[in-house]
Amino acid sequence: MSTETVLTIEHLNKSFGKKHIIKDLSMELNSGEVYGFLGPNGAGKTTTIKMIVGLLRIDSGSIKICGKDLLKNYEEAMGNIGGIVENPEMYKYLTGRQNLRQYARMRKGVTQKRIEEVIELVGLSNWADKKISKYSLGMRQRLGIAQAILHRPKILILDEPTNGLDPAGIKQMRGILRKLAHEEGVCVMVSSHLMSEMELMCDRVAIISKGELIEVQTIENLVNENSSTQQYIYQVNDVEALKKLLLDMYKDNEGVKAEQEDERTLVLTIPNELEKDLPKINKAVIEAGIELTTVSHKAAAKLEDAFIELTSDEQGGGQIA
Amino acid sequence: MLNLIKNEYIKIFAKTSMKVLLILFFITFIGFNILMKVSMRDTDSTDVEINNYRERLYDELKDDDKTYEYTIDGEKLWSVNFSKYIKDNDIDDEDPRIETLGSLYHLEKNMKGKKYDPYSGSGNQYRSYLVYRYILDNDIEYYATDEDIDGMSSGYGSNDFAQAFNMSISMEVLFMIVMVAIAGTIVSSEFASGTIKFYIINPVTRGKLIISKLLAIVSLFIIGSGVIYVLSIPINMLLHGTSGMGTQVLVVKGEDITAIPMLIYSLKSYGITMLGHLIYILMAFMLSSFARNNALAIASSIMLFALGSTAVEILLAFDQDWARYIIFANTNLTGIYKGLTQFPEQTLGFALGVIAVHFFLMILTAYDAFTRREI
Repeated sequence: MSTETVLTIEHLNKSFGKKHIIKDLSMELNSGEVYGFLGPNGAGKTTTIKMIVGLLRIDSGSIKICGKDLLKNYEEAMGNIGGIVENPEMYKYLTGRQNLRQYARMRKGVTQKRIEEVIELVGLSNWADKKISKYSLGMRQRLGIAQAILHRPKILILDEPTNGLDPAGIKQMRGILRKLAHEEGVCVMVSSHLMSEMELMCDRVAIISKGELIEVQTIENLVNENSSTQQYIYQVNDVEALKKLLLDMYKDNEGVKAEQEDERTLVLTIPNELEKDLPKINKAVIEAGIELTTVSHKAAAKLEDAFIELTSDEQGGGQIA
Repeated sequence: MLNLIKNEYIKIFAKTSMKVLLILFFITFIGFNILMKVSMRDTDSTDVEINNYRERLYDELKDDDKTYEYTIDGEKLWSVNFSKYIKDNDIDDEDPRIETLGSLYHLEKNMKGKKYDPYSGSGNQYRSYLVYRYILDNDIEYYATDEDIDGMSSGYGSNDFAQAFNMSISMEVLFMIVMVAIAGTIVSSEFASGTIKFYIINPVTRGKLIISKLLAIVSLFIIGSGVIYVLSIPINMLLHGTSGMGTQVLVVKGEDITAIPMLIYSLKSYGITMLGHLIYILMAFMLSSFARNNALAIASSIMLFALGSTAVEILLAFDQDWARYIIFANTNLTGIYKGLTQFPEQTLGFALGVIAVHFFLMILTAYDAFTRREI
């Protein structure tokens, strides 16, 4: 399947009052990829998404969807987009199927068969004739997905799509989205602040902070590039002694850090190239008479570190705008 | 566009509150008609009573050999010898024409002041004379005058059907309030329930969305009012008999009288009333398009409906001539058409112009608010 650029955002700007929320944002999204849109709360994720789906007006810049300008060719451009923004709110007094029929009437080429197909796909066959007022948040989220893919859009935009889903539902959703992207060539744009989620789902990730695009990378590159170091967790009886020992061993190497976490735990940070030294370090620890309970590799939250590193300001904390 | 309007209809009728409201309206509508029949029965004349009345009149008139002269300001209009008239026209004691003759007999023959003025009541007799003569000359059995239909007098000849029918279709005002409730929530409820997002994320411009809502409201008002009008016919035929169906409405304009079948004349004044009521529905629609609050739009429209014309009267009392440009000064189209205006030289064209400008501005405001709104 050949990839093509389906969504082009150029020099997008948006202010609310005097507050400049989105600053000169440019992005390109391709068909067949799951594109993660990552940023801390208030970074401008939802604002950007709302502009793409026509909920907010654009101050300046342009959004092109499959080559059609959103402002000049609104209906044609929007015909290629499906999405969920914030909570999936449907007409509570209608059934799931009646809700989908509402949206089918507003879009081109949605047959009765297609409606049944998407109901089946999101696993709501037994609930389609029940009113939305009886649905749980997870079920509404599924119906939201059904609504979004009803007209087979080329771009699917989902704001926090796993909100309210149980673990099984999240896994199923991930499967649906990856299948849509990789088998049907849909461009799936997913926003989230849950890094672990993104790591499992996305092919590429864009990180935005304070309304500015910081980095766009494939997941592998992002994790590797921003993790030049490895961390190991030592559980010992005497943390002070261990710390002294380690710092003595590497007093010339600034990349090595030993930080005490609690009275029995120490986190050792070493550059990637020193990983081969581990057996040597461990031997020295034993020889120094320090009781070593366990050593473990701190592997989790790779993207999370990259994310915090990229979005943190001078004070070192993740910002909340 | 038709699909969008269909969507709106589905949304309106699927709500439980709407179903309750419509059932309540229907019960009230039928109940009102039955109640009217019951209350009319007290004053209703039975066939025997009518025949007794006609016999009494007949006995009185057939022996009166005097010739009466009808004059206005000394000018002779008509002279009649009742006993001769009865003989010449083969009228017996059961003929309905005898009632009209009786009315003319009891009318003062010497009328003063030519012009009919509904405010002071002067010229009333002349107007009655013209109506009775027209009925007599054209042999009309069931009649009502235009003022009866337009609610400015309560005569209706001796005709229950015409009165009951026109009361029945006046229930349209209640339907208008139902429509105000629908129009006042049709946009704001999308915001209140959060459904606005999935509503907007569709390959349809916002302009089309808001116009489809407007068309749904206006068409529903027209269809609903039409149903009220059409249903009022069989209901009142059932309650009051079919004889009044052929009632002629006598439109008096100066000295000329024209007869129009009641069902047609009423339709015309019904349409004019609806046009006036559409103002409040559009107002609720406009408020709904920029309020997030459902209640606000409904409450303010109904308040304006109740207080708008009072406000104009207060301004009028303070000699504020500009008040003529306020829409509530121009909603009484029937009255304005007949020249019963609050402001000097307030013509029907002027009133329609003011209404058209307000309609345009209200729709434009709703359109603008909805298409530019940040969600």
